[in-house]
Amino acid sequence: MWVPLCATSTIPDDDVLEVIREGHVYCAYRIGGRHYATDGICTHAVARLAEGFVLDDIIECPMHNGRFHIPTGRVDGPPACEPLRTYPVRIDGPMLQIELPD
Amino acid sequence: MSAAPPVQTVRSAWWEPRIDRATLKGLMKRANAPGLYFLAVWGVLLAGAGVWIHLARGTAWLVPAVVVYGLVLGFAYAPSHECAHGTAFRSRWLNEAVLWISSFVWGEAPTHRRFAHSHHHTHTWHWKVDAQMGYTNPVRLRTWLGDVIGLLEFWPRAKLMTRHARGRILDRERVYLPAGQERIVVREARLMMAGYAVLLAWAVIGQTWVPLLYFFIPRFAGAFAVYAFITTQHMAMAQDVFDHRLCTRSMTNGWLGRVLYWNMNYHVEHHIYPSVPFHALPALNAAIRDQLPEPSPSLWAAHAEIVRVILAQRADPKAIASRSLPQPLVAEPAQSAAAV
Repeated sequence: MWVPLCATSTIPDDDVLEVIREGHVYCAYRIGGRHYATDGICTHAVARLAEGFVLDDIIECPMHNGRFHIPTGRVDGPPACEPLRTYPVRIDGPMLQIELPD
Repeated sequence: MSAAPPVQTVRSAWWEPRIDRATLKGLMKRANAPGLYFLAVWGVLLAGAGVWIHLARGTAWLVPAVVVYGLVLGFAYAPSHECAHGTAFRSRWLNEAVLWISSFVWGEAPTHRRFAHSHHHTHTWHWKVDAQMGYTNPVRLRTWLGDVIGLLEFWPRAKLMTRHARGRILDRERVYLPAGQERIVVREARLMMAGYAVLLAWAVIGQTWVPLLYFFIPRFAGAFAVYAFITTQHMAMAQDVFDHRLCTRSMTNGWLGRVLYWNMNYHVEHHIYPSVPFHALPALNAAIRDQLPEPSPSLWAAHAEIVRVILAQRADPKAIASRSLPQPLVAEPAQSAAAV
């Protein structure tokens, strides 16, 4: 099921935008012109990733500096241990959509 | 879609300053040059003191030479700490390489250091929660003295590493160590102990004083210097509060202190935003200074305040270091405590 997440124009270049949809926190990214979406809460210690730092295709948690690879969600640096959930994305007109399970 | 946070995060309860998002993101940027510069200063001082040790052998000057070398060596704490955060360098391999070398000198295995310190940042100065909070208010004078001298730190640190090397992880350590990390902690403790054993074996088998004069003895003899800095970070401050301005102490240091300590004199700022690397802490301070209490004006002033509070705590166990805050607190359990 594809659902709209946010307008692509609201996502800063090479950075992250936090989107809260139906009580769930997501992060939307535009990195090198490509769009990505992940969960918005760090898997290590419940911090909002959008308050963190995007370096190339890595998002770093603001709390303990745990790192995740944005396109795949794999852990890129401790103390994070669990991967970050990622979502398939597509662009529909002005909107970035993500695919959620039916 | 909603703008309100749907979940409480570990940061939600903590006071945060007003700062422009773009400014903060700019401060979080990583670089190699500042860390290399700080490392180079440390290396030059270490080399200079090392030459002094070499020239002083066989004379009474050997004692001050070893102490001076040791007090510089002890500041391995600073790169080890910054690299444990992963913020010392932009280059990841450089960060990890310096983490290993400096942690070996400092005497704490990298992965345990990293996770225990993460826990300290989550639960800063919350008694029986913060993994790195070694004492509670009221503080005893002998605790301050032992902490400043630093020598008392070596025994528990050695016990910890020995226990980890034997494969024993305590339940209270499992609070901050994810299951998959336990074997890494054990392996690293064994590696570190093997490294120390090699140095000792070199001294014994090679019949040389070099490892003793340039590592083990100065590491003990000069430990007091870096501990004099570290002790100021939280001692005699408020505890169990959610405001780093109250539970953490910043101080003003001169150039040499800032370089050796990797700007950790901006300790309130570091705790508020641990993602801001050491070299950007002065700029962070400039951006939020109007929302922070005045820092202690010097290392000596910080210790004078600590001793003053400790003496006051004898009469009033709730006495803590007072901080004048420019804006209302978010959480203020410390307000009922008497302030000195």
